Amino acid sequence: MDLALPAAWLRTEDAVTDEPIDVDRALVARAQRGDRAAFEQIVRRHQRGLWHLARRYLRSDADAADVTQQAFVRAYQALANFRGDASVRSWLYRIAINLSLNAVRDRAREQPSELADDALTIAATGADRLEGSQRAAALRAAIAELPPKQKLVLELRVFDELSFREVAALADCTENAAKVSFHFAVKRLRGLLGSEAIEP
Amino acid sequence: MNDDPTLDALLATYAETPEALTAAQRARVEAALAEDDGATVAAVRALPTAGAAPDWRALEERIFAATTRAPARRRPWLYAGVALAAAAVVALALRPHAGRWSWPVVPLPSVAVAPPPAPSPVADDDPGLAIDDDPASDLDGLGPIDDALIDEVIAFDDEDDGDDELPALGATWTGWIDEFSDDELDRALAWIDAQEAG
Repeated sequence: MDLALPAAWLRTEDAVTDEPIDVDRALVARAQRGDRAAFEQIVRRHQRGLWHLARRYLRSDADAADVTQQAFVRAYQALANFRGDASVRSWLYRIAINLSLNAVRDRAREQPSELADDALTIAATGADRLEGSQRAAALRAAIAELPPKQKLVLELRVFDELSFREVAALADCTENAAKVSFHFAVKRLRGLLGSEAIEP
Repeated sequence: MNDDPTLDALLATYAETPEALTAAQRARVEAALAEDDGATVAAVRALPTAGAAPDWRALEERIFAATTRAPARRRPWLYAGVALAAAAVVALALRPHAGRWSWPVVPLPSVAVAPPPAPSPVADDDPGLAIDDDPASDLDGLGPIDDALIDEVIAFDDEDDGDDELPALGATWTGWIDEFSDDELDRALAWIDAQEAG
């Protein structure tokens, strides 16, 4: 199975997860004092994560960009209210998730098919690529069938590489509950796909 | 990955009330959770990115352009001031009442009142006066209603056509002034002038 790690997830510019979270807090503290450059740095560090998060909800590149912009605008307007109870990343993700859910609700009538849309974006030039894309589509469909909480936990943990503590904060549950939801999500995926379908 | 239903129950307990688990049960649950970073997670992680990433530089510029206005600044002094004012109001409301507090009494100016009209003569056997004196006992002693007497009163009232033209008596009715003679009216006006003069 040829599933290379997506280049977009390597995040050469905003390797947030490898840096201490205090960097973000220091930037927010500076931004709260009116340091414009600090806010711009926050944007550069988190815009990709927010875009991918919104893209998963909205299934539209342009809409994801809009939500990313709105999320940073909201965050900028609410800088004074950030007290550091959660990580900066959790705070930004929370804003983006809320905006994404609102956007999904607003356009509920359209109901585009993510599977069809995303399947078309994967070029299938050879037999192996075709088989790989079919497996990827099947896995995506299986993820889409997960209960909402399990899906959220799985995506935040795997795609966004958040800690279980951050995942718990965003999913409104305890850290233990987040771990258990993740466990059941993985178990369910294996059940939906069969072990042979996802073994490398 | 274990399909043991007992493990599922332990996982549910671990999520909600982990303190209810024994050390051995907790170790079993955590061992099961540690197995999650396997092939399935790797496959999910390796999924191709959906969609085409935007021009990050352009997106940055959009965001920067949309946030040109200065954000609201923190105002700790404002919060402190509001909290202090609220505390003062609460303290004022809850302070011990050594002497009961009341609004200061302002004496009202005296108002000149015109003399009331002379009361109309009332018969001694008027049951209304007796009711005012002792309602309970008088009402008990009234006895059954005499329909014949009521009819007689109504017939008498019908004969007195002049009364029907009078307006209903009210707090502002001043028709009694018309009954004054010119001399009485002059004396009343003189009395009012004297009152107003001091």
